[in-house]
Amino acid sequence: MVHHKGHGRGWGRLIGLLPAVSLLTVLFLGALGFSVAQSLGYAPQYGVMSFPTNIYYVSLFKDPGFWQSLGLTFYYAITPTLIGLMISIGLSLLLAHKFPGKGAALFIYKIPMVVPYLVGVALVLILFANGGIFARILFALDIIDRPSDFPRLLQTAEGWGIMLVYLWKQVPFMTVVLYAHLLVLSREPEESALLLGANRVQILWHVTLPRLIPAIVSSSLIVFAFNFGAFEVPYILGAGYPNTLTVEAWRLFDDPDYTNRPKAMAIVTLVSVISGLCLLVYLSLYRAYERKRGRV
Amino acid sequence: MRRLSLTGKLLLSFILLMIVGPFIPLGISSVAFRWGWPDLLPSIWWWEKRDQVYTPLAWDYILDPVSRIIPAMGNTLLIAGAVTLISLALAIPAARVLGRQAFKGKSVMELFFASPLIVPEIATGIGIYLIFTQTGLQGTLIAIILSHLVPVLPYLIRVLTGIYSEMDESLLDQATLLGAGPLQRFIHVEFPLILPGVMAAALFAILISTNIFLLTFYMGQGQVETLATILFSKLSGGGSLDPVSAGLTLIVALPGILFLMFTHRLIREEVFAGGTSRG
Repeated sequence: MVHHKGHGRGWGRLIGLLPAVSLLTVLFLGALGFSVAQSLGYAPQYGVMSFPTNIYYVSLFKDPGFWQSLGLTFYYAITPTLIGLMISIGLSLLLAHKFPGKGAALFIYKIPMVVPYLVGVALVLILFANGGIFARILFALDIIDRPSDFPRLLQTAEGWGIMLVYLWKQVPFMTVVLYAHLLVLSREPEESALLLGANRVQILWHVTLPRLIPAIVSSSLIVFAFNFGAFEVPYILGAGYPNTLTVEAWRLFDDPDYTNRPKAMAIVTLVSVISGLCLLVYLSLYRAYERKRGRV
Repeated sequence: MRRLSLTGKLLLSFILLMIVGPFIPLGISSVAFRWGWPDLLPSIWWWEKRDQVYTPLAWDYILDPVSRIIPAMGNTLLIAGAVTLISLALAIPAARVLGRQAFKGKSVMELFFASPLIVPEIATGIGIYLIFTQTGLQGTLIAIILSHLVPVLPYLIRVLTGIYSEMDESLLDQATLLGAGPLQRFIHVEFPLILPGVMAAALFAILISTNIFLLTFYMGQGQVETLATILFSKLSGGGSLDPVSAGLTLIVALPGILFLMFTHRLIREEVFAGGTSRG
């Protein structure tokens, strides 16, 4: 080995890492620091100078609207993650077979993954708005007479539109992760199970799925964390009120009365903290599961 | 690998139809002349009126300076180009250290570089905006470019660290033994080795940057428009989709589809799995 030059390497390391670290320290840690400081009452530019105070957090916790928004944020984040996961497991297993046109299929299913969420929003609007394609199909089938007869799916708190966009965008992403994992797994355990007389459902449930767990955990984690902090989809397709915490934060931040901004920052800080805590809990559950499996 | 049964084929076709099917009405809408309720297809297509208008109405408006869409496209590409170059310049030296050396505090460093990928964009976005209002940079291209580095740079560091850790170190040692200096060694041995990875990383960087909406929206403050912010303001009106929004959506989807065409054969499924959920 040629390069073991103690001090020289230390300097090289510093020079290599320093630019990236300093940029992210200012723009990422600095930004988070600013948000947290403002949520604790440090905002001299708006004449708010009560640092440190917890009044913004306390007023949030006392507001039933906050808890309602929190519930909706969880609901919009978890539902499509779970449904999407089931579809993605099915899709990745289908893709792992041999079939004509496989190259095209592997191209097509990735399209939603590489376009912005706003494209998904536009597609949901053209299909599911009250004058949209599905309403017209129902009219052609003589089921409805007017656009207003079509059930309202968009801009309501039920969040159908929001969750449809998430599903459309994220099934391909989860499928990519699961399919890549399937590709590197050997087929031997499945084949032994088959020889031992297991049927296809048993093989899927007892052999294939447990081996996919790491991919299932990592992909659903990323998707959940994204959905929890997403803004533009619930902003356009959700109800004016109640809506997710991120939309609520935006409404307060955009208020002409700047003294509302610390409250917006408190919401944004809570969104980060709650989403981080969920990831931790989920990961520790996964570790516990792996340990249990290791012991069996 | 087993063959797919008929049910499997039907199921797969159905899922693929759900994925690309919605683009069909979008394309139709962008070339319709008149498509009112309750028609399933346009009552008047653009080409039936081509003696009056040369291009479909929606596309005519999109290409017209009034819509400001062409300059927005320019901004989008300029931002993506700058973000890609700057983040590569910062990510390569960092990944070189992380991928090839073991040192104390390395896992802390890796956690630090991964954290911007976990914290919601709205939290970092508002904070970055506050930093830029302090320095008077808000509403400029520079502010947008710097803000895009926050999600792009950690991602590139991750991809390039993987490439450096798989690199064959003995080739570098041989170059040194043969008398190459550090610069020569980098240009003639190391760079050619990482080039395919750098190309893939650059394509990902362009894709992530062109797809970012929220950070651009905050930092631009309505003074710098990109394709994403124009599409947002068109869509946030609510209601059904007008033909111009339909055409604009197709334009916004284009970089991603071009990206897939470029990388489909080059990039292995596993690299995609590394994750552009932020797309």
